[in-house]
Amino acid sequence: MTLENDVFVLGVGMSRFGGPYQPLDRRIIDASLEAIDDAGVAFTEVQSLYLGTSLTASTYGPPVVKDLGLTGIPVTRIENASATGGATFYEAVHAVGSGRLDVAMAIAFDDPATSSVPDFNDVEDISPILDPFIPPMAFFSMWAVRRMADHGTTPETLAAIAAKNWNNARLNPKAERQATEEITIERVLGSRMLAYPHTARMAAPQGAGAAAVIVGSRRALERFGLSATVRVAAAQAHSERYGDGHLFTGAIIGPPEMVQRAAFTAYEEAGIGPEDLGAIAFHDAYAIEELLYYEAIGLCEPGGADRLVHDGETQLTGRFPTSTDGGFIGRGHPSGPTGIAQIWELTHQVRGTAGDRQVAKPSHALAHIVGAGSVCYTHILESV
Amino acid sequence: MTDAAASPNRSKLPQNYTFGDASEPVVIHGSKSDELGTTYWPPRMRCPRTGGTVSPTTLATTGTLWSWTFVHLPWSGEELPNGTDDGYAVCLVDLDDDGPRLGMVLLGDREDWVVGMRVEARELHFKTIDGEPQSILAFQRSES
Repeated sequence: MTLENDVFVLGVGMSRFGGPYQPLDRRIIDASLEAIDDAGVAFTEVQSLYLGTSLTASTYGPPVVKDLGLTGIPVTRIENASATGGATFYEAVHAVGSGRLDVAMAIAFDDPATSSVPDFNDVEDISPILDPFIPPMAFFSMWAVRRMADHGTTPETLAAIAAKNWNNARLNPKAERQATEEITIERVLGSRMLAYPHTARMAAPQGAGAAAVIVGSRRALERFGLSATVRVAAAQAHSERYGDGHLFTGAIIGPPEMVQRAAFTAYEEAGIGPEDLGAIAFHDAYAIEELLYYEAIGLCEPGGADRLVHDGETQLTGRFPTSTDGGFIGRGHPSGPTGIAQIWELTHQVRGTAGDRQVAKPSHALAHIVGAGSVCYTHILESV
Repeated sequence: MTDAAASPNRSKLPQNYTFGDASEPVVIHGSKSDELGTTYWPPRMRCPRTGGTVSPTTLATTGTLWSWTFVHLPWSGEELPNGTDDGYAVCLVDLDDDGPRLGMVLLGDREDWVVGMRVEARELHFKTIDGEPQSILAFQRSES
Protein backbone atom coordinates (compact mmCIF):
# COMPACT_ATOMS: atom_id res chain seq x y z
CA MET A 1 0.00 0.00 0.00
CA THR A 2 1.40 3.41 -0.93
CA LEU A 3 0.51 6.89 0.24
CA GLU A 4 -2.00 8.71 -1.95
CA ASN A 5 -1.31 12.15 -0.51
CA ASP A 6 1.68 13.93 0.98
CA VAL A 7 2.26 13.34 4.68
CA PHE A 8 4.66 15.48 6.72
CA VAL A 9 6.24 14.96 10.12
CA LEU A 10 5.11 18.01 12.08
CA GLY A 11 6.61 17.28 15.47
CA VAL A 12 8.44 14.62 17.47
CA GLY A 13 9.12 14.00 21.16
CA MET A 14 10.47 11.28 23.38
CA SER A 15 11.39 10.58 26.97
CA ARG A 16 14.83 9.36 27.81
CA PHE A 17 14.74 5.56 27.57
CA GLY A 18 15.70 3.82 30.79
CA GLY A 19 17.53 6.05 33.26
CA PRO A 20 16.27 7.02 36.72
CA TYR A 21 12.79 5.78 37.61
CA GLN A 22 9.91 7.83 36.30
CA PRO A 23 6.29 6.70 36.23
CA LEU A 24 5.30 5.63 32.73
CA ASP A 25 2.41 8.15 32.83
CA ARG A 26 4.95 10.94 33.25
CA ARG A 27 7.09 9.71 30.38
CA ILE A 28 4.05 9.51 28.08
CA ILE A 29 2.87 13.04 28.84
CA ASP A 30 6.37 14.52 28.60
CA ALA A 31 7.02 12.89 25.21
CA SER A 32 3.60 13.96 23.94
CA LEU A 33 3.97 17.56 25.07
CA GLU A 34 7.39 17.69 23.45
CA ALA A 35 5.89 16.54 20.15
CA ILE A 36 3.02 19.03 20.42
CA ASP A 37 5.45 21.86 21.17
CA ASP A 38 7.76 20.75 18.34
CA ALA A 39 4.85 20.68 15.88
CA GLY A 40 3.43 24.02 16.86
CA VAL A 41 -0.03 22.52 16.61
CA ALA A 42 -2.39 22.33 19.59
CA PHE A 43 -3.67 18.92 20.68
CA THR A 44 -7.18 20.16 19.96
CA GLU A 45 -6.25 20.04 16.26
CA VAL A 46 -5.33 16.32 16.38
CA GLN A 47 -8.12 14.35 14.69
CA SER A 48 -7.13 10.82 15.63
CA LEU A 49 -4.80 9.36 18.23
CA TYR A 50 -2.98 6.02 17.91
CA LEU A 51 -1.45 4.48 21.04
CA GLY A 52 1.20 1.79 20.68
CA THR A 53 2.08 -0.60 23.49
CA SER A 54 2.97 -4.26 23.62
CA LEU A 55 3.54 -4.80 27.33
CA THR A 56 0.94 -2.83 29.28
CA ALA A 57 -2.45 -4.00 30.52
CA SER A 58 -5.32 -3.68 28.06
CA THR A 59 -6.89 -0.74 29.84
CA TYR A 60 -3.69 1.27 30.07
CA GLY A 61 -3.07 4.24 27.80
CA PRO A 62 -6.34 5.99 26.97
CA PRO A 63 -6.84 7.13 30.59
CA VAL A 64 -3.31 8.55 30.70
CA VAL A 65 -3.66 10.69 27.60
CA LYS A 66 -6.77 12.33 29.03
CA ASP A 67 -4.25 14.84 30.38
CA LEU A 68 -3.59 15.97 26.81
CA GLY A 69 -7.25 16.91 26.37
CA LEU A 70 -10.62 15.19 26.20
CA THR A 71 -11.52 16.21 22.68
CA GLY A 72 -13.71 13.28 21.65
CA ILE A 73 -11.42 12.01 18.87
CA PRO A 74 -10.90 8.31 18.05
CA VAL A 75 -8.28 6.71 20.31
CA THR A 76 -6.97 3.33 19.17
CA ARG A 77 -4.45 0.98 20.82
CA ILE A 78 -2.07 -0.90 18.55
CA GLU A 79 0.18 -3.89 19.38
CA ASN A 80 2.65 -5.65 17.09
CA ALA A 81 5.47 -6.98 19.31
CA SER A 82 8.78 -5.16 18.82
CA ALA A 83 7.36 -3.44 15.76
CA THR A 84 4.55 -1.79 17.74
CA GLY A 85 5.96 1.73 17.38
CA GLY A 86 6.48 1.24 13.65
CA ALA A 87 2.92 -0.04 13.31
CA THR A 88 1.53 2.89 15.28
CA PHE A 89 3.37 5.42 13.13
CA TYR A 90 2.29 3.56 9.99
CA GLU A 91 -1.40 3.78 10.93
CA ALA A 92 -1.18 7.49 11.70
CA VAL A 93 0.68 8.16 8.45
CA HIS A 94 -1.80 6.21 6.33
CA ALA A 95 -4.77 7.85 8.04
CA VAL A 96 -3.45 11.16 6.73
CA GLY A 97 -2.06 9.77 3.47
CA SER A 98 -5.44 8.35 2.53
CA GLY A 99 -6.98 11.79 2.80
CA ARG A 100 -9.26 10.81 5.71
CA LEU A 101 -7.53 13.14 8.18
CA ASP A 102 -5.31 16.21 8.18
CA VAL A 103 -3.61 15.74 11.56
CA ALA A 104 -2.92 12.47 13.40
CA MET A 105 -0.78 11.67 16.42
CA ALA A 106 1.02 8.46 17.37
CA ILE A 107 2.23 7.87 20.92
CA ALA A 108 3.93 4.66 22.00
CA PHE A 109 5.19 3.53 25.39
CA ASP A 110 6.15 0.59 27.55
CA ASP A 111 7.81 -0.25 30.83
CA PRO A 112 9.15 -3.82 30.70
CA ALA A 113 9.83 -3.77 34.46
CA THR A 114 6.14 -3.52 35.26
CA SER A 115 4.88 -5.57 32.34
CA SER A 116 1.84 -7.74 32.98
CA VAL A 117 2.56 -9.76 29.87
CA PRO A 118 4.19 -13.16 30.49
CA ASP A 119 7.55 -13.94 29.00
CA PHE A 120 7.15 -15.24 25.47
CA ASN A 121 9.00 -18.36 26.44
CA ASP A 122 6.40 -19.17 29.10
CA VAL A 123 3.69 -19.51 26.48
CA GLU A 124 3.92 -23.26 26.37
CA ASP A 125 0.78 -23.89 24.40
CA ILE A 126 2.46 -22.66 21.22
CA SER A 127 4.78 -25.63 21.07
CA PRO A 128 5.18 -27.42 24.38
CA ILE A 129 8.16 -29.50 23.38
CA LEU A 130 10.26 -26.62 22.17
CA ASP A 131 9.62 -23.03 23.02
CA PRO A 132 10.66 -23.00 26.67
CA PHE A 133 14.14 -24.02 25.55
CA ILE A 134 14.85 -21.65 22.68
CA PRO A 135 14.68 -18.02 23.83
CA PRO A 136 14.71 -15.27 21.20
CA MET A 137 18.40 -14.53 21.69
CA ALA A 138 19.20 -18.12 20.71
CA PHE A 139 17.53 -17.74 17.34
CA PHE A 140 19.57 -14.63 16.55
CA SER A 141 22.73 -16.32 17.78
CA MET A 142 22.06 -19.22 15.45
CA TRP A 143 21.84 -16.70 12.59
CA ALA A 144 25.28 -15.52 13.70
CA VAL A 145 26.85 -18.96 13.89
CA ARG A 146 25.51 -19.76 10.44
CA ARG A 147 26.86 -16.47 9.11
CA MET A 148 30.27 -17.28 10.58
CA ALA A 149 30.27 -20.60 8.76
CA ASP A 150 29.08 -19.14 5.44
CA HIS A 151 31.07 -15.91 5.24
CA GLY A 152 33.80 -16.08 7.88
CA THR A 153 32.21 -13.36 10.00
CA THR A 154 33.94 -13.08 13.37
CA PRO A 155 32.70 -12.09 16.84
CA GLU A 156 34.93 -9.02 16.45
CA THR A 157 32.73 -7.79 13.60
CA LEU A 158 29.62 -8.14 15.74
CA ALA A 159 31.44 -6.37 18.56
CA ALA A 160 32.40 -3.52 16.21
CA ILE A 161 28.73 -2.96 15.38
CA ALA A 162 27.79 -3.00 19.05
CA ALA A 163 30.64 -0.65 20.02
CA LYS A 164 29.55 1.80 17.32
CA ASN A 165 26.03 1.81 18.68
CA TRP A 166 27.18 2.21 22.30
CA ASN A 167 29.34 5.16 21.27
CA ASN A 168 26.60 6.78 19.19
CA ALA A 169 24.37 6.52 22.28
CA ARG A 170 26.94 8.53 24.25
CA LEU A 171 26.02 11.45 21.96
CA ASN A 172 22.28 11.01 22.52
CA PRO A 173 21.00 12.34 25.86
CA LYS A 174 17.82 10.30 25.44
CA ALA A 175 19.62 6.96 25.04
CA GLU A 176 19.37 4.36 27.79
CA ARG A 177 23.04 3.44 27.71
CA GLN A 178 25.27 6.38 28.62
CA ALA A 179 28.79 4.98 28.86
CA THR A 180 31.21 7.32 30.61
CA GLU A 181 34.05 6.39 28.29
CA GLU A 182 34.43 5.04 24.78
CA ILE A 183 33.32 1.45 24.37
CA THR A 184 35.91 -0.66 22.60
CA ILE A 185 35.54 -3.91 20.71
CA GLU A 186 37.47 -5.59 23.51
CA ARG A 187 35.01 -4.38 26.15
CA VAL A 188 32.09 -5.68 24.11
CA LEU A 189 33.74 -9.07 23.69
CA GLY A 190 34.69 -9.18 27.36
CA SER A 191 31.17 -8.84 28.70
CA ARG A 192 29.07 -11.79 29.86
CA MET A 193 28.26 -14.36 27.20
CA LEU A 194 24.49 -14.69 26.62
CA ALA A 195 24.30 -17.12 23.72
CA TYR A 196 27.39 -17.68 21.62
CA PRO A 197 28.59 -15.46 19.97
CA HIS A 198 26.44 -12.70 21.46
CA THR A 199 27.65 -11.08 24.67
CA ALA A 200 25.55 -8.84 26.91
CA ARG A 201 26.99 -5.70 25.28
CA MET A 202 25.84 -6.95 21.86
CA ALA A 203 22.21 -7.03 23.02
CA ALA A 204 19.60 -4.32 23.59
CA PRO A 205 18.65 -3.16 27.10
CA GLN A 206 14.96 -2.85 27.96
CA GLY A 207 14.30 0.19 30.11
CA ALA A 208 11.04 2.12 30.11
CA GLY A 209 10.26 4.78 27.54
CA ALA A 210 7.73 6.78 25.55
CA ALA A 211 7.86 8.53 22.18
CA ALA A 212 5.39 10.59 20.15
CA VAL A 213 5.00 12.01 16.67
CA ILE A 214 2.45 14.25 14.95
CA VAL A 215 1.90 13.98 11.21
CA GLY A 216 -0.12 16.22 8.95
CA SER A 217 -1.30 16.79 5.40
CA ARG A 218 -0.43 19.60 3.00
CA ARG A 219 -3.78 21.16 3.94
CA ALA A 220 -2.68 21.14 7.56
CA LEU A 221 0.54 22.96 6.67
CA GLU A 222 -1.44 25.66 4.91
CA ARG A 223 -4.06 25.90 7.63
CA PHE A 224 -1.55 26.31 10.45
CA GLY A 225 0.98 28.33 8.48
CA LEU A 226 3.70 25.70 8.94
CA SER A 227 6.70 25.04 6.74
CA ALA A 228 7.45 21.33 7.11
CA THR A 229 10.95 20.07 6.62
CA VAL A 230 10.34 16.31 6.64
CA ARG A 231 8.02 14.36 4.34
CA VAL A 232 7.13 10.69 4.74
CA ALA A 233 8.22 9.42 1.33
CA ALA A 234 7.30 5.79 1.97
CA ALA A 235 5.38 3.80 4.58
CA GLN A 236 5.43 0.04 4.08
CA ALA A 237 4.09 -2.84 6.17
CA HIS A 238 4.91 -6.45 5.29
CA SER A 239 4.72 -9.94 6.76
CA GLU A 240 6.30 -13.31 6.01
CA ARG A 241 6.05 -15.33 2.84
CA TYR A 242 6.84 -19.02 2.95
CA GLY A 243 10.35 -19.96 1.92
CA ASP A 244 12.87 -22.77 2.31
CA GLY A 245 13.89 -23.25 5.93
CA HIS A 246 10.83 -21.43 7.18
CA LEU A 247 10.33 -21.57 10.96
CA PHE A 248 6.87 -21.68 12.49
CA THR A 249 7.85 -21.69 16.15
CA GLY A 250 9.54 -19.34 18.56
CA ALA A 251 9.94 -15.59 18.77
CA ILE A 252 11.80 -15.56 15.53
CA ILE A 253 11.95 -12.73 13.05
CA GLY A 254 12.39 -13.52 9.43
CA PRO A 255 12.99 -14.58 6.83
CA PRO A 256 15.37 -11.90 5.49
CA GLU A 257 13.29 -11.86 2.31
CA MET A 258 10.60 -9.98 4.24
CA VAL A 259 13.05 -7.23 5.21
CA GLN A 260 14.36 -7.04 1.66
CA ARG A 261 10.85 -6.87 0.18
CA ALA A 262 9.76 -4.13 2.61
CA ALA A 263 12.85 -2.03 1.87
CA PHE A 264 12.75 -2.32 -1.89
CA THR A 265 9.02 -1.64 -2.00
CA ALA A 266 9.73 1.46 0.06
CA TYR A 267 12.49 2.54 -2.34
CA GLU A 268 10.05 2.18 -5.21
CA GLU A 269 7.42 4.23 -3.39
CA ALA A 270 9.95 6.96 -2.57
CA GLY A 271 11.54 6.89 -6.01
CA ILE A 272 15.04 6.35 -4.64
CA GLY A 273 17.59 3.57 -4.16
CA PRO A 274 19.65 2.48 -1.16
CA GLU A 275 22.52 4.67 -2.37
CA ASP A 276 20.38 7.73 -1.57
CA LEU A 277 20.12 6.95 2.15
CA GLY A 278 22.04 9.22 4.49
CA ALA A 279 20.90 7.77 7.83
CA ILE A 280 19.41 4.39 8.70
CA ALA A 281 17.70 3.09 11.83
CA PHE A 282 17.70 -0.69 12.21
CA HIS A 283 16.10 -3.31 14.42
CA ASP A 284 19.41 -4.20 16.08
CA ALA A 285 18.17 -6.07 19.14
CA TYR A 286 21.27 -8.25 18.61
CA ALA A 287 24.34 -7.23 16.65
CA ILE A 288 23.96 -9.93 14.00
CA GLU A 289 20.67 -8.37 12.92
CA GLU A 290 22.26 -5.09 11.88
CA LEU A 291 24.94 -6.93 9.91
CA LEU A 292 22.44 -9.06 7.99
CA TYR A 293 20.08 -6.16 7.36
CA TYR A 294 22.87 -4.15 5.65
CA GLU A 295 22.69 -6.69 2.87
CA ALA A 296 18.93 -7.23 3.00
CA ILE A 297 18.16 -3.56 2.35
CA GLY A 298 20.81 -3.32 -0.37
CA LEU A 299 23.60 -1.27 1.24
CA CYS A 300 26.06 -3.80 -0.16
CA GLU A 301 26.16 -7.05 -2.07
CA PRO A 302 25.46 -10.37 -0.29
CA GLY A 303 28.49 -11.22 1.83
CA GLY A 304 29.77 -7.64 1.77
CA ALA A 305 28.44 -6.42 5.11
CA ASP A 306 31.56 -7.29 7.10
CA ARG A 307 33.64 -5.08 4.83
CA LEU A 308 31.15 -2.24 5.27
CA VAL A 309 31.75 -2.44 9.02
CA HIS A 310 35.52 -2.67 8.85
CA ASP A 311 35.77 0.18 6.34
CA GLY A 312 33.86 2.44 8.74
CA GLU A 313 31.06 3.01 6.24
CA THR A 314 28.36 2.67 8.91
CA GLN A 315 29.93 5.14 11.35
CA LEU A 316 28.49 8.67 11.75
CA THR A 317 31.08 9.90 9.24
CA GLY A 318 30.63 6.98 6.85
CA ARG A 319 28.67 6.54 3.65
CA PHE A 320 25.73 4.83 5.40
CA PRO A 321 25.49 6.05 9.02
CA THR A 322 23.47 3.45 10.92
CA SER A 323 21.83 3.45 14.36
CA THR A 324 22.93 7.05 14.77
CA ASP A 325 21.06 7.43 18.06
CA GLY A 326 22.60 4.24 19.45
CA GLY A 327 20.03 1.89 17.94
CA PHE A 328 18.39 -0.79 20.04
CA ILE A 329 21.77 -1.68 21.57
CA GLY A 330 22.56 1.85 22.76
CA ARG A 331 19.32 3.84 22.81
CA GLY A 332 17.37 0.89 24.20
CA HIS A 333 14.31 -1.12 23.28
CA PRO A 334 11.37 -0.77 25.67
CA SER A 335 9.31 -2.53 22.97
CA GLY A 336 6.30 -0.30 22.18
CA PRO A 337 7.97 3.10 21.67
CA THR A 338 11.11 1.94 19.87
CA GLY A 339 9.74 2.42 16.36
CA ILE A 340 8.71 6.01 17.09
CA ALA A 341 12.07 6.70 18.73
CA GLN A 342 13.57 5.80 15.34
CA ILE A 343 11.33 8.44 13.71
CA TRP A 344 12.35 10.95 16.39
CA GLU A 345 16.01 10.40 15.56
CA LEU A 346 15.68 10.38 11.79
CA THR A 347 13.49 13.50 11.84
CA HIS A 348 16.25 15.31 13.70
CA GLN A 349 18.89 13.95 11.31
CA VAL A 350 16.91 15.08 8.24
CA ARG A 351 16.27 18.48 9.80
CA GLY A 352 19.93 18.83 10.76
CA THR A 353 19.14 19.16 14.47
CA ALA A 354 20.75 15.97 15.81
CA GLY A 355 23.48 17.80 17.72
CA ASP A 356 26.81 16.06 18.27
CA ARG A 357 25.70 12.96 16.38
CA GLN A 358 24.50 14.87 13.30
CA VAL A 359 25.56 13.19 10.07
CA ALA A 360 25.99 14.99 6.75
CA LYS A 361 22.41 16.26 6.37
CA PRO A 362 20.59 13.38 4.63
CA SER A 363 18.15 13.83 1.78
CA HIS A 364 16.57 10.52 2.77
CA ALA A 365 16.60 8.37 5.90
CA LEU A 366 15.16 4.89 6.43
CA ALA A 367 13.62 3.34 9.55
CA HIS A 368 13.41 -0.44 9.66
CA ILE A 369 11.74 -2.40 12.43
CA VAL A 370 10.50 -5.96 12.72
CA GLY A 371 8.28 -7.79 15.16
CA ALA A 372 8.14 -11.43 16.14
CA GLY A 373 5.55 -13.37 14.31
CA SER A 374 6.77 -11.87 12.06
CA VAL A 375 6.12 -8.44 10.57
CA CYS A 376 8.25 -5.65 9.13
CA TYR A 377 7.68 -1.90 8.86
CA THR A 378 9.87 0.33 6.71
CA HIS A 379 9.52 4.11 6.50
CA ILE A 380 11.54 6.58 4.46
CA LEU A 381 11.74 10.21 5.52
CA GLU A 382 12.68 12.86 2.96
CA SER A 383 14.09 16.34 3.39
CA VAL A 384 11.82 18.97 1.80
CA MET B 1 34.16 -22.67 11.68
CA THR B 2 35.73 -19.65 13.31
CA ASP B 3 34.53 -20.32 16.83
CA ALA B 4 37.46 -22.19 18.27
CA ALA B 5 38.28 -19.44 20.75
CA ALA B 6 34.89 -19.62 22.41
CA SER B 7 34.43 -20.97 25.92
CA PRO B 8 34.39 -24.75 26.25
CA ASN B 9 30.86 -25.94 26.81
CA ARG B 10 29.03 -29.16 27.20
CA SER B 11 25.29 -29.19 26.83
CA LYS B 12 24.06 -29.57 30.38
CA LEU B 13 21.29 -32.09 30.82
CA PRO B 14 18.34 -31.47 33.10
CA GLN B 15 18.34 -33.04 36.52
CA ASN B 16 17.00 -36.60 36.70
CA TYR B 17 16.88 -37.04 32.97
CA THR B 18 16.46 -40.28 31.08
CA PHE B 19 16.68 -40.98 27.40
CA GLY B 20 13.87 -42.65 25.50
CA ASP B 21 14.02 -46.39 25.07
CA ALA B 22 16.29 -47.09 22.14
CA SER B 23 14.03 -49.91 21.09
CA GLU B 24 11.22 -47.43 20.48
CA PRO B 25 12.00 -45.28 17.47
CA VAL B 26 11.69 -41.51 17.78
CA VAL B 27 8.71 -40.12 15.90
CA ILE B 28 8.45 -36.52 14.71
CA HIS B 29 4.92 -35.63 13.70
CA GLY B 30 4.33 -33.10 10.95
CA SER B 31 1.92 -32.18 8.19
CA LYS B 32 2.04 -32.71 4.44
CA SER B 33 0.34 -30.45 1.92
CA ASP B 34 -2.15 -32.57 -0.01
CA GLU B 35 -1.59 -30.44 -3.11
CA LEU B 36 2.16 -29.72 -3.04
CA GLY B 37 3.57 -32.53 -0.95
CA THR B 38 5.57 -30.00 1.09
CA THR B 39 6.05 -31.06 4.71
CA TYR B 40 5.78 -28.76 7.72
CA TRP B 41 6.68 -28.81 11.40
CA PRO B 42 5.03 -28.48 13.82
CA PRO B 43 1.77 -29.86 12.37
CA ARG B 44 -0.32 -27.24 10.60
CA MET B 45 -4.09 -26.92 10.22
CA ARG B 46 -3.82 -25.76 6.58
CA CYS B 47 -1.04 -25.53 4.00
CA PRO B 48 0.80 -22.19 4.55
CA ARG B 49 1.59 -21.96 0.85
CA THR B 50 -1.79 -22.73 -0.73
CA GLY B 51 -4.30 -22.49 2.10
CA GLY B 52 -5.36 -26.01 1.11
CA THR B 53 -5.71 -29.16 3.15
CA VAL B 54 -2.92 -31.05 4.88
CA SER B 55 -2.60 -34.60 6.15
CA PRO B 56 -0.69 -35.91 9.16
CA THR B 57 2.71 -37.37 8.36
CA THR B 58 5.84 -38.50 10.12
CA LEU B 59 9.10 -36.73 9.32
CA ALA B 60 12.66 -37.96 9.01
CA THR B 61 14.50 -38.15 12.34
CA THR B 62 17.87 -37.46 10.77
CA GLY B 63 19.12 -34.33 9.11
CA THR B 64 21.81 -31.70 8.67
CA LEU B 65 22.78 -29.12 11.28
CA TRP B 66 21.88 -25.68 9.87
CA SER B 67 23.14 -23.83 12.93
CA TRP B 68 23.56 -24.02 16.70
CA THR B 69 24.27 -21.88 19.75
CA PHE B 70 25.02 -22.39 23.41
CA VAL B 71 22.56 -20.60 25.69
CA HIS B 72 23.93 -19.51 29.06
CA LEU B 73 20.64 -20.04 30.82
CA PRO B 74 19.26 -22.77 33.09
CA TRP B 75 16.77 -25.31 31.91
CA SER B 76 13.19 -24.33 32.55
CA GLY B 77 12.63 -24.19 36.29
CA GLU B 78 16.22 -24.84 37.25
CA GLU B 79 18.88 -22.39 38.40
CA LEU B 80 22.45 -21.98 37.30
CA PRO B 81 24.90 -22.00 40.21
CA ASN B 82 26.72 -18.69 40.53
CA GLY B 83 30.00 -18.48 38.71
CA THR B 84 29.39 -21.44 36.45
CA ASP B 85 29.46 -21.37 32.69
CA ASP B 86 26.64 -23.86 32.42
CA GLY B 87 23.82 -23.83 29.97
CA TYR B 88 22.57 -25.87 27.09
CA ALA B 89 22.87 -25.93 23.34
CA VAL B 90 20.08 -25.57 20.81
CA CYS B 91 20.10 -26.08 17.07
CA LEU B 92 18.24 -25.70 13.83
CA VAL B 93 18.18 -28.84 11.73
CA ASP B 94 17.11 -29.39 8.12
CA LEU B 95 15.44 -32.80 8.18
CA ASP B 96 16.21 -35.33 5.48
CA ASP B 97 13.82 -36.21 2.66
CA ASP B 98 13.24 -32.51 1.86
CA GLY B 99 11.82 -32.11 5.34
CA PRO B 100 11.29 -28.83 7.18
CA ARG B 101 13.76 -26.96 9.36
CA LEU B 102 13.10 -27.28 13.06
CA GLY B 103 14.64 -26.11 16.31
CA MET B 104 15.59 -28.46 19.13
CA VAL B 105 17.98 -28.98 22.00
CA LEU B 106 21.45 -30.12 20.89
CA LEU B 107 23.36 -32.71 22.87
CA GLY B 108 27.08 -33.32 23.11
CA ASP B 109 30.23 -31.25 23.43
CA ARG B 110 31.19 -27.96 21.90
CA GLU B 111 33.82 -29.51 19.68
CA ASP B 112 31.16 -31.82 18.22
CA TRP B 113 29.06 -29.02 16.81
CA VAL B 114 29.85 -28.03 13.24
CA VAL B 115 27.47 -26.42 10.78
CA GLY B 116 26.61 -28.99 8.13
CA MET B 117 27.20 -32.06 10.30
CA ARG B 118 24.81 -35.02 10.25
CA VAL B 119 22.51 -35.31 13.27
CA GLU B 120 19.87 -37.69 14.58
CA ALA B 121 16.97 -37.19 16.97
CA ARG B 122 16.65 -38.63 20.47
CA GLU B 123 13.87 -38.37 22.97
CA LEU B 124 14.74 -36.90 26.36
CA HIS B 125 12.52 -37.39 29.42
CA PHE B 126 12.88 -35.46 32.68
CA LYS B 127 10.93 -33.82 35.43
CA THR B 128 10.73 -30.06 35.83
CA ILE B 129 11.56 -28.48 39.17
CA ASP B 130 7.83 -28.65 39.89
CA GLY B 131 7.91 -32.41 39.41
CA GLU B 132 6.05 -32.32 36.14
CA PRO B 133 7.17 -34.98 33.67
CA GLN B 134 8.33 -33.49 30.39
CA SER B 135 9.60 -34.94 27.14
CA ILE B 136 11.48 -33.12 24.45
CA LEU B 137 13.24 -34.02 21.26
CA ALA B 138 16.96 -33.44 21.10
CA PHE B 139 19.52 -33.87 18.36
CA GLN B 140 23.03 -35.25 18.55
CA ARG B 141 25.83 -36.00 16.13
CA SER B 142 24.86 -38.97 14.02
CA GLU B 143 27.03 -42.01 14.55
CA SER B 144 26.12 -43.50 11.19
